[in-house]
Amino acid sequence: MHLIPNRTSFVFVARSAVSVWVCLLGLTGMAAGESNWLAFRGDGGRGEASESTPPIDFDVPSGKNVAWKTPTTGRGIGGPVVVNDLVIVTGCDGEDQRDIHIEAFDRETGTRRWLRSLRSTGRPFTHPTSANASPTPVSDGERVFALFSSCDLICLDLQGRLLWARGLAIDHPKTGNDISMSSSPAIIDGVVCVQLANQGDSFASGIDATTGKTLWSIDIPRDSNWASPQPMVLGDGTPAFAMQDSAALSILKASTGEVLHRFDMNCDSTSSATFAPPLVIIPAAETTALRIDSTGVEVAWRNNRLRPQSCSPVVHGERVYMGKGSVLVSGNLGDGEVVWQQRLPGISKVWASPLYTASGIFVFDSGGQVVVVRDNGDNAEVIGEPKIGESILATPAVVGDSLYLRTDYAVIRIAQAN
Amino acid sequence: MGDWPRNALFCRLVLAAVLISSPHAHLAAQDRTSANNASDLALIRQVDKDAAGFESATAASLRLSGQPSAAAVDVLSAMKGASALAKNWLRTIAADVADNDSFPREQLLQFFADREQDSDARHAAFQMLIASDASLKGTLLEGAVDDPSLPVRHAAIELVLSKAAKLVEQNDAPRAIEVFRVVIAQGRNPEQLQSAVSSLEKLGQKVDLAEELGMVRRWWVIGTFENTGSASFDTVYEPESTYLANGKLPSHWLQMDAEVGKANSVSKSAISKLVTSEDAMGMVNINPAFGNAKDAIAYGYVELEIPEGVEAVARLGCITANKVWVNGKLALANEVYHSGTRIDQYLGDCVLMPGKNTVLVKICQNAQTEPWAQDWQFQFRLTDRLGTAIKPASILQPGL
Repeated sequence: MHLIPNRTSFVFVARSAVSVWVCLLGLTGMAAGESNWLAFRGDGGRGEASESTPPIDFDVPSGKNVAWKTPTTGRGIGGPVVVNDLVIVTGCDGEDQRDIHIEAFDRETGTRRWLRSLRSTGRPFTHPTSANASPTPVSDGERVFALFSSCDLICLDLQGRLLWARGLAIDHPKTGNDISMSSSPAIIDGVVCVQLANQGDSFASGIDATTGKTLWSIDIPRDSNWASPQPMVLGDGTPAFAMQDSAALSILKASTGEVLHRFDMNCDSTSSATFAPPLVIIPAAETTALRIDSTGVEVAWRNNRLRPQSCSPVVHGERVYMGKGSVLVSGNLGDGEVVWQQRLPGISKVWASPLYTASGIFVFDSGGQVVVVRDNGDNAEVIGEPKIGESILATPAVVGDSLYLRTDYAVIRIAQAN
Repeated sequence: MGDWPRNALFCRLVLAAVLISSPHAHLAAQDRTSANNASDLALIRQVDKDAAGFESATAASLRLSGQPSAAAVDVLSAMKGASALAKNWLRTIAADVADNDSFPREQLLQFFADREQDSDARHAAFQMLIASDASLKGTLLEGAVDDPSLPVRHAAIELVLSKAAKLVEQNDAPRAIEVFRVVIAQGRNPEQLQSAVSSLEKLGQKVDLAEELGMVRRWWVIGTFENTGSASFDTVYEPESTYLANGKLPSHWLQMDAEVGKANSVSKSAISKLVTSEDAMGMVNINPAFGNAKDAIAYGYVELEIPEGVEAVARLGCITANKVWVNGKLALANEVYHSGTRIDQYLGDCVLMPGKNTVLVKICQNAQTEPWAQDWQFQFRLTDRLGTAIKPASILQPGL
C-alpha cells in the first residue's frame, strides 16, 4: 500500500519564475490521471474536464445516450467518484437516515460490485433537502474515504474491504448540525482532511489515511459551514489544505495542521474555494481572489458580481464561471471582471456545481433539467438542454467521454450511443 | 496494494483440499480457523474512540476478509455486546466475507429468525439478505412490527403503511383503519405515527398524536432571564440553582405571574406562566407568554407521576440552545441556535422513579433577527430505551 499517491497528473503551473510559489492544487486525482474522478469537483477541484466530450443531447427518461442507470441503496446527494473500473457513491436510508451505505458499481455495465452498510454513530438528522449521505467521498486511487453528515468516516479498499472506520462524533459528541454536515473530505500525501464546522464542537482534523489515527486537530469557528477543504501543494513542495470558514481562509500544512497562511475575511459558508494557481478564488459576498506566493498572501481582485449561489466556482484557462441560479456568469481570471452572463432556460435551483468540458459547460438544475453553454469568448450560447428527469443535487463526475450522474436514488452513465 | 487476502483465501482452499483426505486433520484445521477467527474478532471488538486498537484491528479485518462466506454469521455473532463503533467494523466485514463465494443465504435467514441474537446484527443480516434478493423483504418483515430491532421494526411498519394506503386506494376504509391502528400501536418512529394519524383523520378517525407520543404538554414556564450575546447558557439562574439544590421548585413559584428571582442585575423579577400546548405534536411555544423576547432564557418545570421505575430516554426537540434535567440530573445540554429541529432531536438517558418525578428544561433564545430565527419553543417526552412512549399516570400541577 502506497502512502503517497502517484503524481502522474500533477500539473505544475508557473506564473513566473519568481512569484510562482503555488503549484497545482487538487492532488486527489494523482493516482490514475485522466481516467479517474476522485473527489468533489474532480482532480484539481476546479470542476473541469477540458478534454472530455460527453454528449449534450441525452435524455434519461427515454434512455437516449444513457449507457446504464442503476438504482442505489438509499438516497445520496454527494457526488460519485470514479476509480479505475468502479463508480463509488454513498447513500442513506432507514429511520432518520441512520443506515449509511457505500456502494461500488462496475463502470462499464453499472452492475453493483459491492455494498457496505453501516449505522450512524453521530447525528443523522438533516434538512429534508439534504441527506446524511451529503459529502462526496474521496479516493487516492487505491482506497476510498467516505464521510457522512453523522461524522462517520470509513476507509475501504477498492474491493470493499474495511481498512478502518471512525465515529468522529463518538470522539466529539457535541459535533453535529441538523441542517447537515456536508463538507466533503480531501486527501493529500496520505492525510485525509475533514472540516466539521458547526455550533457545537467545531473542528478540523487530519487523519492518517493508512491507520485512521488523528494526526492533528484544530478548533475552528463555532458556526455552520458546509464548504469543503481543498488539497494543494505549495511551491516548496509542502502538501497543504486550504480551508474557509466564517472568519478566514487558512492554508494548513497537511502533515501537522500548522497554519501557514491566514487571510481574515468572511468566506461563503456553502460554496467552496477553487484554485487556479497562483490564485485562490474564494466565494463571499464579495468574491475574492488571493494570490499566494512565497512572500505571503495578497488580494489579486474582488468582485461582488461574480458571487456564486450555493454551488462552487469553476475555472478553466483564463476564465472563471459562477452558477447563480438561472444565470451562468463568466469572468476573467486575471482581474475578476465579468465577461458575459448567460440566462439558462429551465434552470431555477442549483446545488450541483457546474462542469466545464470540451462539449460545453454543464449546469444542473436540482429538478433534473440540464443546460449546456458554449463560451464563445465575449459571449455565450446555449447549445443543449438535456434532461435527467429526476432530482439531482450532487455534482456529477466526468471521465473520458462519459458523464456520471448521481441522482437522488440512482447512478447514471451518460455516453454517446454507438 | 495486491490481492494478498484473496490469495490467502485461495491458499486456504488449497490447504482444505489437501486436508480433506484426512478427516482428523480437517477437523483440526477447522478448529484452528475458528480459533483464529475468534482471535481476530476479539481484536475488532476492541476498537475504541480516537482510533484506539485500529492497527491490529485493520490487520484482523484483512485476515477475516479472506474467510469463506459461511463465516459471515460468525462475524455478525461477534456484534453481541460490542460498541457502536465495533459493530460498524463487524457489519462491514460480515458483508465483505459474504461476498467471497456463494452467498450464505440459509445461514443468514436462520440468524435473522433468531430474535435472541443481537438486534443490530440481525438488522445487518436483514440488510445483507435484501441486498442479495430484494424479493425477500416482504417475507422477512412479515410479523416484524414488534421486532426488537428498531430499524427492522421501522421497515416492517413502512410496509404496513403501504398496505394500508393500498386499502385506502381500494376504498376499503374499515380494513385500512384497522391496519393504520397497527401502526399507532406498534410504531415507534414519530414520522410513521404522524403519517398514520394523518391518514386516519382523512378516514374520519380522530387520534390524539401528542398523547400517543407521550408529549408533555403542560408546563410552568419561568422567565425571562438575561442571555445577552447568547452568553448565559451556563449561567445558573435561581430556578436552576433551587432545583438542583432541592430537587424541585417551591410551590409558591408555581402560581400565575408569581415572581421568581432576578432576571438580571437591573431588571425586575422573572415571572411564572402556565403554558399549555395545543399543538398536534406537543410543541410548547414560549413566545406568547414572554412577548417574543430575544437574548432571553426561560425555564420549564413539570412534575410527573410514573407508575413504575424505569431506565428511560429524555427526548427533546428544540431549535435553540437547551438543557434538560430529570430528577435533578442533567440529561441533555445543547448549545445550538436555529440550526434545524425535529421531534426527538436530542436524546439523553435518565432514570425514572416510581411516583413523583421532576423535569426542568432551560430554553435559551438568541438575538437573531431573520424571520426563520424567531421560534422559541420545545417539545418533550419520555420513552423507554426502545422508543415506547412513557405516559405519566398524571401530570402533577403544584400551585393549581
